[in-house]
Amino acid sequence: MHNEREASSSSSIAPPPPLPSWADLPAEITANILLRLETIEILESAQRVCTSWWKVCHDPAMWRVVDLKYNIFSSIRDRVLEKICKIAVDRSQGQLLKISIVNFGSTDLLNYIAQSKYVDEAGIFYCCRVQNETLLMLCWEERKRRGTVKRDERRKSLVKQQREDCANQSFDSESESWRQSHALSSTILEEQLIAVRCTKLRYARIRGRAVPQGSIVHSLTLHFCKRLNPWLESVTS
Amino acid sequence: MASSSSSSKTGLKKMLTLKSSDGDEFELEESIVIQCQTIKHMVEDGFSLIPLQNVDTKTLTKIIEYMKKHAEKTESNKEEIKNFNKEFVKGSFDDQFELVSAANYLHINGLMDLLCQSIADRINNKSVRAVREIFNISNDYTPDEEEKVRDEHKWAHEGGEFDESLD
Repeated sequence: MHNEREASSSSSIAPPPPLPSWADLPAEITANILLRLETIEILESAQRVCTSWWKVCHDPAMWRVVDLKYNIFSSIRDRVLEKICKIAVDRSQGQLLKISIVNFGSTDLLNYIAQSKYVDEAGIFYCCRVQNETLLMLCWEERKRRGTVKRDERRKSLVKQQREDCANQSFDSESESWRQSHALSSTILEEQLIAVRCTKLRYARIRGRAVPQGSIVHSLTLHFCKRLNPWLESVTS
Repeated sequence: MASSSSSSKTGLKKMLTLKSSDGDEFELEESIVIQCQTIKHMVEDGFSLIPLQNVDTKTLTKIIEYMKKHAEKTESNKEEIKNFNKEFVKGSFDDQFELVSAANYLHINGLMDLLCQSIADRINNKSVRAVREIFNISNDYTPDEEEKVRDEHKWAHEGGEFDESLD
C-alpha cells in the first residue's frame, strides 16, 4: 500500500519541494545506516520496507559483525535467536568477522557455524552454553603470517563438546571476584583450549549471569598469549 | 545566504573557498576544512577554490557549522562536543537526507557516523509501516513478493511488538 504524503500544507505560498524518499539514497549510505541496527531488526523490519532496502540487507558486507543477545525480558525466544543466527551466518557468505552470541546457543548452533562453508576464512567468536546460565566465548583471529590453520583441525575443535560441569558458579561482582573467576575461568578455558589445537586464540570473553533469574550480567575479558597453553597474560575489564 | 569572508585578517592561516551548488561562497581556514577527506585531497592537488556541485547552500552551512565546532575539539571540551552533536542531529529529518548524502560525498567520517547512527535510531523498534512513513518510502513490493519476504521469517515476527508511532 502506498503511503504517499498528501500535500497537507495545502494553501501555502509556494508548493514545497517534494520530500526526498529515503529509498533513493545510494546503497552504500543505506548500508551504513542499516548495519547499525540489531540483526533481528534487519530481518524483521528493515528488509521488508522496500526492495532497495531488501537488496542492501542481503549484501554480505552487512553481515560482517553479528551481535545477538538473549534477553529474559524480550519476547523473542532463544530458539528464534538461533534461527536468526543461522540466517546471519548464511548471509555473510564468508565475510563474517565477528559473531557474538550472548545467553543462548547450543551445540547444534555451534556445529552450524563451524560447518558452514562460509565461515572458513573468517576469525569467529565461539560461544558455548557452559551451564544453563553461563556462557563462554572464545574468539580467535586468524593470522595468516604463519600459515593458516587447517580447516579440519578447527572444525574438530569447534565440534568438540563442551563439558558442562565446571562452571556452576557465578561471579558476584566484577571487581571483587576477579581472583575467583580467574581460577574458575582458567579451568574452563583449559578444556576449551586443549580442544582448540590451533594457536590462534587471542582473547576470550566470559560472561556469567547470576543464577536464579538473576538479571545482572557480569562480563570480563581475558587476554591470552598466542600459545597453546591458556596462560593468562593480562586482564582488562 | 552567502557569508562573505569575515576573518581573513589571520594572516598566516591559509584560507580556502568552498562554493555551494547554489553559487554561494564560503571562506574557511584550511585547518577546518581538511576534516573533509574529499576536500583535503583537492587541497593537496593545489586547489583553493573548491566547487561542491552536490551540496547546496543550506546543507553546506550546516556542514561548516559541524566542521568548525569539531576543529575546536580538545581533551577538555569533550562534553561540549557531545552536546553539540546531540543538538546537531535534532534538526528536521528531511534535512538529514541532504546532510548524510553530502557527508558521504565529502567523506567526513565523524559526521557520517553521527548521522547514520541517529537515523538508525529512528528505525529502531519501529514497525515496517512506521518506517515507510517516517522515511517517505513507498512500498514497491508486489503483493506476492511482500508475502514472500514476510513468510521468509514468519517465525520471527510472531511477537508483533513493534512500535507504530512516527516519532
